[in-house]
Amino acid sequence: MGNDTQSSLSNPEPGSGARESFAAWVPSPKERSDMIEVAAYHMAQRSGFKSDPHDCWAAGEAQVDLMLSLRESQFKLQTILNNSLDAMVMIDAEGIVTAWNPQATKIFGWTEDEAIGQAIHTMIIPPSHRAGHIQGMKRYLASGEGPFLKILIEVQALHRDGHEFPIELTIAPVKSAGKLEFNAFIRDITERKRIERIQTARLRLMEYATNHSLKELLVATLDEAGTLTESPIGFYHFLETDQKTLSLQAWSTRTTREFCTAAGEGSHYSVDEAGVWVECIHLRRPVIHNDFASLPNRRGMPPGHAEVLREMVVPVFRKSRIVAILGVGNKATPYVKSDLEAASRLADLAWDIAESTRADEELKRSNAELEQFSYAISHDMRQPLRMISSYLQLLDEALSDQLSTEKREYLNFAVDGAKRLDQMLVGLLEYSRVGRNGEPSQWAESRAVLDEALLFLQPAIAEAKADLRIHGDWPRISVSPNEVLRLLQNLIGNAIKFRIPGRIPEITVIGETIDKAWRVCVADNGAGIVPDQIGRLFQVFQRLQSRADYEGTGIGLALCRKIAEHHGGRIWAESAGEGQGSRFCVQLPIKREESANATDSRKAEA
Amino acid sequence: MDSRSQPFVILLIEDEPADAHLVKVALDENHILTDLHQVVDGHQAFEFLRRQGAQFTSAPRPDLILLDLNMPRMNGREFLATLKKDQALCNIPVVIITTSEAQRDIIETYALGAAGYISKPADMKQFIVAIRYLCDYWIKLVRLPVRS
Repeated sequence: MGNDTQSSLSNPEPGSGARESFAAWVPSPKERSDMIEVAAYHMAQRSGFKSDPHDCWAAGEAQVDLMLSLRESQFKLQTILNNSLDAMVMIDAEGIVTAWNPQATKIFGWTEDEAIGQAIHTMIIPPSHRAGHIQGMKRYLASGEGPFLKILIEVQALHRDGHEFPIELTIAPVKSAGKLEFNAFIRDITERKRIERIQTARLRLMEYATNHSLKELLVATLDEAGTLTESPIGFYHFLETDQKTLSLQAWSTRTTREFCTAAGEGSHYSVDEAGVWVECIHLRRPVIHNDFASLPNRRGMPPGHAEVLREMVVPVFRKSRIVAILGVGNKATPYVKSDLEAASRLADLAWDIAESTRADEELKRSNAELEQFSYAISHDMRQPLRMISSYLQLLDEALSDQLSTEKREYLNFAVDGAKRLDQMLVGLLEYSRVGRNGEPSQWAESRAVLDEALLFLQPAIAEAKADLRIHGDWPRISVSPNEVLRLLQNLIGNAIKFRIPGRIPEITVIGETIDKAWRVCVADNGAGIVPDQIGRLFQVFQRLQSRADYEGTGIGLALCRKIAEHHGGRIWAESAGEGQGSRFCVQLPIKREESANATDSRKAEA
Repeated sequence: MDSRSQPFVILLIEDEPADAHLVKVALDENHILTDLHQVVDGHQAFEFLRRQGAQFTSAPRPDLILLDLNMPRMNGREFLATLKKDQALCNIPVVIITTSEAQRDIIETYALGAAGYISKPADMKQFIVAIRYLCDYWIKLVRLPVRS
């Protein structure tokens, strides 16, 4: 009985089935007691039956428990190794496999029975690496030097079916009972490497896009796709909104170099008339033709077109519409799912970059156009105007003696008109520039912006002897400070300007934080507004007061509205009627500030 | 003009006759006696400065150039850039006199070597004042290279 137990502990039968039954065996209390009895008997026998029987029993019990716990931990270790995600392989000093877990079978294709007893290098090391492996083993055995031991290394490995694939592994020497063995934990990193290659290609393209044109980027994308999918042919088309018209954007460098391209960039194709290479548009999914020649509905190639052996075309979707297709062709082996993923991810990225590049170019173009327009206004259009007013003034002076008062008035009207038109042009210029002066949003103290506006208005305030009061919240705001300065200046300036003669202007400026917005209201006791005219107030060149009473071009409030809207806010006016004063309010959204002083708002009284 | 024996020579480069005439009127209004010459673009200005062509054989060397920016053929910027590279002519001060208030023009022309930049006021009276200040500075205040 005792002998049986001993042998099954130290020599488990080979084969996982045997190991399972071994692991499943747990002694019953009776069996355990029998084992202890045998062990105690051996103890007593060894001492010539001179020892105390109780001591023998205790020693026997200790020995049996030790054996059982050893068996338990060995079982645990075995379970861990069997279930490990990594392959575990052990070899002896001669390179003969001594251990091989199920994961090793999975990644290398050899079963445990086949592997045990075989030389490792004939199984999993590619022929080109075998000499190095054998030499490394010899060197370690001779000198104890093993630069590749106990570190993570990446190498190519050989599968039973002959294909090579990348693995990472750590090898550690294990010395036990005077015997040297090597233990390796091995991981198949094919998938990770593949994703890494796509990822690095994407990063390279993003970097490349920063200082290259759209065309160059698309060629680079096709070159990367060509490398990843081992394809000498690559093409990129945009598909127009009608989903019917393709326009060729680029060929890969190899396509241009190695094949005669039948069509140049910018060529347009109708999807309905194009060959099987546009099938992915009809089917709305990626398409692989690994045997292009045998396709039943294949059309002939245009003259100069390369012979296509196999191809893969992937669509790029945006909002469930196909916007582009990327195709590769003539890989030496059939296209597989991983090629598809690589091509799709690059095609996608290229589209995103293309879109942002085109948006940038469009913005640059429209900014340049605006700049040209502004310049035309500020120089070209104002010059003739200046001629009109200057020469009218000269005429006025030259003829001063000969003109009647009435006729001098005519001349003055003409001069005034020309000057006003000049001011309107300047106002229009400013209006057109709101939001486009390149000033980025920045955090500013709203009270400091207000103070600066008041500084500009100081002469007008003094002249009108205005009674100006400032109340409320003046938080930090994220705005274009110059624009908000202009807005406040215009609103307060209006409150001063549209005063009623003989009445001291009373102007109240109140800042208020409401929910996620900041509101500024400027109230006055001035001319007021006929309520049904309020809608016209904020339109360009609209004036609600006669010029005889109040000067102005009619651009100021339009400018305020545009500035408020540019900040995502709004502006409105309230008045009880003519002579009743008015109140103008602007409400701007408050963005959340990341810094700690977000709540630093000030109460002000002036 | 002070110690000068000859009148102060101004070359006005301006394609618009009405604009050019305003400069003359403003000088007259200020009773400033100058030898004012006008050409219509940069090309003609160089012909004047280099005394090329029949009409410029006896052209005097200007003490000051007043330059408009937007002209056909060779515009103000091109003229200024070329002038400042010419060893024989680069020490003639050039003042830009234009309708443009664009920062771009102001920055560019100073970088090209302009000695001043005046945006012409729309009001004639202000323009006359501007010309007076300009002449006070260039004729009375500053010292200029002696014409050889």
